[in-house]
Amino acid sequence: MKLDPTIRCRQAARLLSERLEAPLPTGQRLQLSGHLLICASCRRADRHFVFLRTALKAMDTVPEAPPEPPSDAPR
Amino acid sequence: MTLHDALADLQRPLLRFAKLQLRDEALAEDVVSETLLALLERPDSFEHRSSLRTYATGILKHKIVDAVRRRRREVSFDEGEEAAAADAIDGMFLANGHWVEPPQSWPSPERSLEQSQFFDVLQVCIERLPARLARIFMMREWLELEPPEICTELSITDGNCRVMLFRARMQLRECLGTGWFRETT
Repeated sequence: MKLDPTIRCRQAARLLSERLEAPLPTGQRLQLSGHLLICASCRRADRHFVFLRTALKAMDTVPEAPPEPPSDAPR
Repeated sequence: MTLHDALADLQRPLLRFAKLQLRDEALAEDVVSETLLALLERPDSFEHRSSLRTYATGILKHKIVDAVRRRRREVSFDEGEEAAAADAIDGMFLANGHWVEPPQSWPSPERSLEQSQFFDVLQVCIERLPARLARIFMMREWLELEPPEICTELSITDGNCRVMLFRARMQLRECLGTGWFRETT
């Protein structure tokens, strides 16, 4: 198996997004893996995209903002 | 707490979701009313459920999918706004394909999920997206529809759908990065 580090960040970011829709074809998987090996920025972008998905799933159970603290001041 | 009180408390969070997804206040209020009515008409259906809110949100999602289907042909979108979204991606990369502002690491992002303020920021970021990008993103990530279904519902091509999801994710990543995680460059 030969990794192919020929793609740039812009294409890598696009592939990171696309693989959240469906598995990538082998050629693109190799290109992306090769790029991620050498690119910390795109590895972070990957984590951020995945986190976005997690956050949207968590939206349904958002903790409501805490109510205003009761005031101790005399009325 | 009576059922009526419980449902009244649910109205606001449900409406927030419906507006984010539908971008139409009146329609959002309609689907929320339908959801609450469905709950009222069948109170026994959720008697033993641990979370009324989760159950109600599930029903709301079905109502929203129905609403999206019904108005498929009425979807209007702003081409200028979408062209701006495409330009925004261009602005994120240099001509040689590298990041203009490389993503920085987000410290313990999972802890943000316990903070309601985080979701306020997320909501603002989603509202800032062009309407159709926001709708597609919410269909994908909140309603959890598969891309082929989204394409069909919105009468767009598969490729177009993927590009719009990419643009939405890029803009949201940047918005959360600066607005919540305080990425600095």
